[in-house]
Amino acid sequence: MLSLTKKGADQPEGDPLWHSDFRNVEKLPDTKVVRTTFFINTAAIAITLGLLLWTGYREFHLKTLGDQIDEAQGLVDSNRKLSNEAERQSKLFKVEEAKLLEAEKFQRTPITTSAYVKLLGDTLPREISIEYVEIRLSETRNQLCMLRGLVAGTRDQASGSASSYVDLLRANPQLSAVFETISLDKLNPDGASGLLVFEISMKVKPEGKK
Amino acid sequence: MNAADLLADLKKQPVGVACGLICLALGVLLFLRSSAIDERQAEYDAKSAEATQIVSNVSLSKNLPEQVQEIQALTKDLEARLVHAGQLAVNLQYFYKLEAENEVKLLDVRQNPVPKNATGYMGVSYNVTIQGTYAHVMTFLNRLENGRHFSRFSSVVLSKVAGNGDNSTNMTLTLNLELLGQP
Repeated sequence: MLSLTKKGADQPEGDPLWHSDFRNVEKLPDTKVVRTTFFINTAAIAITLGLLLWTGYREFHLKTLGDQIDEAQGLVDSNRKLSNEAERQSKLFKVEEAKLLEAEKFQRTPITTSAYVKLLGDTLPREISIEYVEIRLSETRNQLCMLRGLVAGTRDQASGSASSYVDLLRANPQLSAVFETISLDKLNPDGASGLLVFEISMKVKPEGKK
Repeated sequence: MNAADLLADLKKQPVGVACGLICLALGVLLFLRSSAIDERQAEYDAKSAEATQIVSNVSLSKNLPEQVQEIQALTKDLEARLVHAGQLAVNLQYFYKLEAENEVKLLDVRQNPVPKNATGYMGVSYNVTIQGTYAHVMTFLNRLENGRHFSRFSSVVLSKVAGNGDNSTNMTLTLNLELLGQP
């Protein structure tokens, strides 16, 4: 009795159509509209051309660099002698310049002594008498000038005069350009004269702070 | 597939094969010369910098010989104004001349010892004490500051002469100074 049940999906519907395939695919001509060879050739030529261009570009760049190096070498060769002479002259100049700079540095001072004493004389009030001036410039830092003198007048007037004199010194533009501080350190009665003795110190500004 | 088949296949694609061979040759060439550009570029940079430096040296040194002559003349003048620490009598004569020319009294002048291993320029140290009127002392000071030798003062003490009467206007100037010199 024939089975009436439905065939499974995995069962063949019937015998396949069968015949012998005698084609030699490799030897058959390519009958496509655009042959495969065309694509292969096009791709090969494109890649080769790209590589050729890249190699050519690099070689051209190398040649350009070589030309530029030759040009620079030419410049070096043609100017070498002059440049050596210039370097020799430059060294001589530096040696001589150093001597002048050393002399200039040797003499460099915040204010010359004569200018300082003259300035003190020019700004001296009538009631003040300077007895002693000391200038200490040996140290690079803590350069100091010190004044000692007498103030005329009663003690009341003299102390005011001394104070005014310090203010006068502080207000002087030439002195304030050189000195960092100007201060009244002492103001004492002098036993011999009965006048007030003052002592003023002036601290020189450190170099570079001017 | 044997060699004969491969050869037959290759013969079918002569253009592709030729391109492949060219690509292979170019690849080898590119590989072998891969660092050439960097090397040449570095060489060019160095050479270019050298050339720029040399050309710059030449162009900047246009008036250099004249300037060197000028500065050499200046330093010759400078060196003629230096004191020589060994020439004690000549050095002290400078102060005695200043004394005579400025009507001050030279109370003391001493040249201090110079360091034994000193070379080049150096300050030759002196202690000087003079006495005179304010005007004469100031003239002496000015002459010393702007005189033949280069000077710098380490310490200066200017004081009225102790006493009274006619001498009250007299000043004493004590200097510790250096003159620029050579050993």
